[in-house]
Amino acid sequence: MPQVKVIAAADEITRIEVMTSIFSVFLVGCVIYFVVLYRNRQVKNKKEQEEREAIFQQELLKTQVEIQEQTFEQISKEIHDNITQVLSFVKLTMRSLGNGLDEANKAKLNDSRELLSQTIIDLRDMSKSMSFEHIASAGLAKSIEKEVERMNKSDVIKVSYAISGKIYSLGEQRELVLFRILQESINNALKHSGAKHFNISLQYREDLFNLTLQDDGSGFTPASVENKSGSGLRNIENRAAMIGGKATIDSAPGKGCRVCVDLYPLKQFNTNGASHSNSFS
Amino acid sequence: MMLFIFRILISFIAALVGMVRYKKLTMPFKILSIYLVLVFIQEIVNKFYIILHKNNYIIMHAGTLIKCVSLSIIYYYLFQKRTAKTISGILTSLLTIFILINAFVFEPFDSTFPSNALTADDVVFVIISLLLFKQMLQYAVQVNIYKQGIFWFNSAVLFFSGTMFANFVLVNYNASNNIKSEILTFSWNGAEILFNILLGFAILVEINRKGNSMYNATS
Repeated sequence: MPQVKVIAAADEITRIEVMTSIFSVFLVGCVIYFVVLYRNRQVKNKKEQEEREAIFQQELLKTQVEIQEQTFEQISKEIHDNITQVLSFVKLTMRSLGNGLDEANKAKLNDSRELLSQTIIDLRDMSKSMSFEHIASAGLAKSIEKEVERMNKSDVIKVSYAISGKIYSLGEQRELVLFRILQESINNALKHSGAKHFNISLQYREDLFNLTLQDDGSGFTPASVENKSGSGLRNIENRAAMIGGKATIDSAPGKGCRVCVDLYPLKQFNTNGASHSNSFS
Repeated sequence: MMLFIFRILISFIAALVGMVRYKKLTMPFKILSIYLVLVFIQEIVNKFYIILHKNNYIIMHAGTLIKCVSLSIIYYYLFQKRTAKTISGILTSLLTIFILINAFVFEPFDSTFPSNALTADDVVFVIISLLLFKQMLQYAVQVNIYKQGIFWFNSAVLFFSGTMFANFVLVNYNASNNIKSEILTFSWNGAEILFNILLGFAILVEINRKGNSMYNATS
């Protein structure tokens, strides 16, 4: 009997030891489970924060673009309604001054009037290139054609322009943004690269629109401009993304710069995956 | 004896870490540092009291009260939402009152081990630690969880309270059935040592992350 009691007590002790161990393991398991849950929550929070950040950046960019367009519109109106009118009046006044001058001075006056006429034309062209209404009414292809003429007249850079495929409308807002990307690229080429030639090509396909801008300037390494604030290149990428497109910029020292913007007319999306309407707002 | 020396050593190291890092800590962890110093003092006094008086009832009663008050204040600072603070405050207030009543009425402090108080203490702090875990999940910060002192502190409290509660149940069962089990002694001491280690580690990793912490509870 005592032997049975000892065995029973030993069994009891083993059971207690097992229960204690199981309970400890259970507590540790609870903590481990919590750690897993917590990490999942951290990942989810981070993803949500990134999405909110992307939406915020999009909205900020839209606001900046709207303000910029409003400013351009105001400047365009000011040039058209005010400055060119005043210059036209000056030109008329100069014509009346021609009476009673000798031949040499008349020739000088005529040269000045010619320059003034040219200035008025250039200012009108500049006003149109800044005005959303003119770009919208003319369409992208025509607007680029006029811009190319203006640039070639200036003799600072030689611009060539090619269109392939049947032209169709991409929507006023998208065409305006693409036009601004073109202007930004030309500005960059003139300011930074010392390019002599600039090629513009538009490809209209049913499922894809492509704008390619290429210059023969000094080029750059992408890393050298990546972190600079106010980078025009980042501006180009963001604007393309804003209208549901994708901009790729390739460059290397001595190899010029190539900007490609692809847009899928049938399948538009913005950076957070929602469908995109033909509007900034 | 070796076990006692090891416990004292761990307790001392944990207290030392708290004092060294005191200025860099947020308020709840400053209170935790002070608590660890008190625990170290309690361990030493406990040993001497046992040698002199053959029991440590009064030390255990006092220790339970100090632990309850300290952890209550720490949790009050760590909770963000008013509801959780209120629940925690009510539970710990009731617990404190119970510990005091227990010390004078049910289990007199000079003659009885405060098993009721310790059991109630463990149950309350398991509940409170689970509430804090819930808050941590709701307001997950973008900091590696292993570098958050709050995680180690809360895990220490949950593990210790849960283990000690189970130990009490089993000790009482053993006592009523005349069973002697070494594992419970080992479990008891192990839980206390691990508790001090985890609390010390919590203080070691804790950084005062002003403006980037859900528990930005500075004074």
